[in-house]
Amino acid sequence: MTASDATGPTAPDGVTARFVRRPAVASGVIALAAGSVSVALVADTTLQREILRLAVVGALGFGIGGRLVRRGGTALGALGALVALGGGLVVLVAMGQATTRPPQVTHRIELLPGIAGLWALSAALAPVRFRWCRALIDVGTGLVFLGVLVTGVTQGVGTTALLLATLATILAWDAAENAVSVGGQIGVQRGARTVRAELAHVGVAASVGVGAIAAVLGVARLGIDGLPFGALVALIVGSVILVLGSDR
Amino acid sequence: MTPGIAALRRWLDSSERPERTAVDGRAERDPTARTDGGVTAEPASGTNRPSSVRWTGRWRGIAAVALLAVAIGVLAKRPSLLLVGALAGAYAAYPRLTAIPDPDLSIRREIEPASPADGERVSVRTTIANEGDATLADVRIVDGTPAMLSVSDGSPRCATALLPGGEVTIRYELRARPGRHVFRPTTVLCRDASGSVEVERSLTAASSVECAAEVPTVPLRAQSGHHPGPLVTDDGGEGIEFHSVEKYQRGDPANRIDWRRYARTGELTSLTFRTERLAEVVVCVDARPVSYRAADATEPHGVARAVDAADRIGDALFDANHRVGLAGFGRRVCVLPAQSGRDHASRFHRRLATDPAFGLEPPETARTTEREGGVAPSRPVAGDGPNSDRVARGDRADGADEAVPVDTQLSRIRAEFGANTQVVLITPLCDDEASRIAQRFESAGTAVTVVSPDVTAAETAGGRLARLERAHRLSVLRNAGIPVVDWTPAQPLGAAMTAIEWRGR
Repeated sequence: MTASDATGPTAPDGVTARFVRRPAVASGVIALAAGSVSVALVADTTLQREILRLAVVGALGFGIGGRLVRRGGTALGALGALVALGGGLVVLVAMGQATTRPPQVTHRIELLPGIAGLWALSAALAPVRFRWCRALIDVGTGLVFLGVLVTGVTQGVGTTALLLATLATILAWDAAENAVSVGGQIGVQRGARTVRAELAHVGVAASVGVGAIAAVLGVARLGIDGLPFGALVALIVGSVILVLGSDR
Repeated sequence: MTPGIAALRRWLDSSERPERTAVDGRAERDPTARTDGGVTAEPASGTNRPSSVRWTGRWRGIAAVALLAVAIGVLAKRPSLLLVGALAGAYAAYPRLTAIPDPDLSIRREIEPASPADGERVSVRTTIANEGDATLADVRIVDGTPAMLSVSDGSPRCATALLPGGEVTIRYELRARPGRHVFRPTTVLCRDASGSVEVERSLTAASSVECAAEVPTVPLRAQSGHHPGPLVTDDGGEGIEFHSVEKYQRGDPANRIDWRRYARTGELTSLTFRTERLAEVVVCVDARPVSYRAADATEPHGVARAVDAADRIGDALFDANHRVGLAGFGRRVCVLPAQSGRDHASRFHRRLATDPAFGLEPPETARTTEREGGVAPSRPVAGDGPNSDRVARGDRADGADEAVPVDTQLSRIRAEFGANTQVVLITPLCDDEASRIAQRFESAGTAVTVVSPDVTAAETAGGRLARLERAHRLSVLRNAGIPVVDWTPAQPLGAAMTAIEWRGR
């Protein structure tokens, strides 16, 4: 037989399970939830929460729609594209409201980076493109953390809420990065079970964070207000330099 | 600050830690000893392979975040931001709080059925158990499916957490293809809870799937030596099959004179038969890096199919009592001179299974080019994390790789040929060099038959172009008088060879 005529489809019976590189689902959902919690902790007025709810719905829609588009299939893909488009529009509306509606400027700049960060995070986990995942995660959680820092400067919330928001941001980054790592090595094709490892990873990271917060608050209770400010700075900078000196 | 002290202690501890992982104290606890379930167990050498430790460095950026928070806190005089910085600093110390995992794992594999029919689904259950007394927070397993078989249901990959004594079972189905398929080592990646260090191990459970599909005959060229044998040639002489009628010449044996014709016409003629000779065949596998291409990430690549074909062609030739040799070229060169006999047959199969010239692991360069070309490599496992620097890399020293040009390798192979040797060249014909090699053998006086597994795909424009180029190479070879067996994936090898057999006659 000649070369071209007899070569039919290469897979004779049915579909073979392809290796699908995509951020893992469970960690991705946890990351988005943690990011939303972080923004909600720093944006604590009713109006801010209302706008944030809108933004979270939009970001979720964007992420789910992106997943559906990636899944393939014309009908499902078209539906996913519509959902993602709607979600993106909702996020844009929320951002518009966040820039115009809150009466105080500080409330606006507390909320805006958080919403943009959530959007970037959902775009990373959809994913828009697998190679951009890590960069988008860094940008997204960075923006959320920017919101936390701004709130810390404006003193919009108490110390505990601020620490919890930081913890949620770090957990969001950790879970999202782990989702990319697991999704790149194990994949998300049918039959590849990854949930146990993801939950264990997030659980340990969260318990470390809770322990650290307890320690930090305990130190704060000791009355650091009495300490000279410079001494406190020196302590923290010293510990960070110690950590930087390590190679991991 | 407590994190700082913990970090310091960890840092001091860590100086002696790498030695502990480098010593792979697993010799006395051989995991393959537990292999069961219709599966051959052997003390595999794969367990002694050194594991590699990789630092992912994923928490490295958090120190910058901590410093940023502290800096802003200092500038704005906000003590709460200093506390935020301290929390981030705790996460910078987090990688130090977890030990480098030292996994002690056992593997067993159950295959049902172990001897399937062609195309039948084989269900595989691979169980990995944590035999150590430490919890493994993040175990990522990629089971080593045979290179030739594609997964039809489920996934051979899994990530889980394993408590001491805990186990995880991966279930999936393979679609059987003809031939004997050996499972490759299972790759296990163990990360600590923080994900900052990744230990790679490979576990071997030597199991195989055997799917019988013998090749009935191998189309050989009509060129032979002087020893009688099973190859029917086009020369007249002694034999069974009628060849021609010739005018009687003095000395022709009397039993070959056509007496009926003599009675009818009074003319003396003698019958000749096709002589049957012994063929000397060298099965030659093209394992150049360019041949490690596959139609799809889940399909076997060209060299895997070529080695499989060589195995079965060798069987068929040995069954017909031919003298068979083996050669392979590419990253390494391998030559086994042609002989016959049962010992030589087993030597042939052993060489094919173990010689590095026929290694089924794609070379690095082919992998990267595949990745650039959009086709995922067959086992994308390693290389995760933004800056994964390898500390202990357990590669065998691959000397003389690709250093020897193909022409030199070919002349080494040709040096082993006798005057009557013919070559069965198995190549996926991925580039023009492959067809040039076949023509060079032919022009040097060696009869060549090309068996070409088709690894082109029609899904993409590039795939269609590659298919067109391959079709062109096939017709170039056929025009040069070289018989070519075009072996498509949907077709058994025997059928592809029979198709050319009666065309060639």
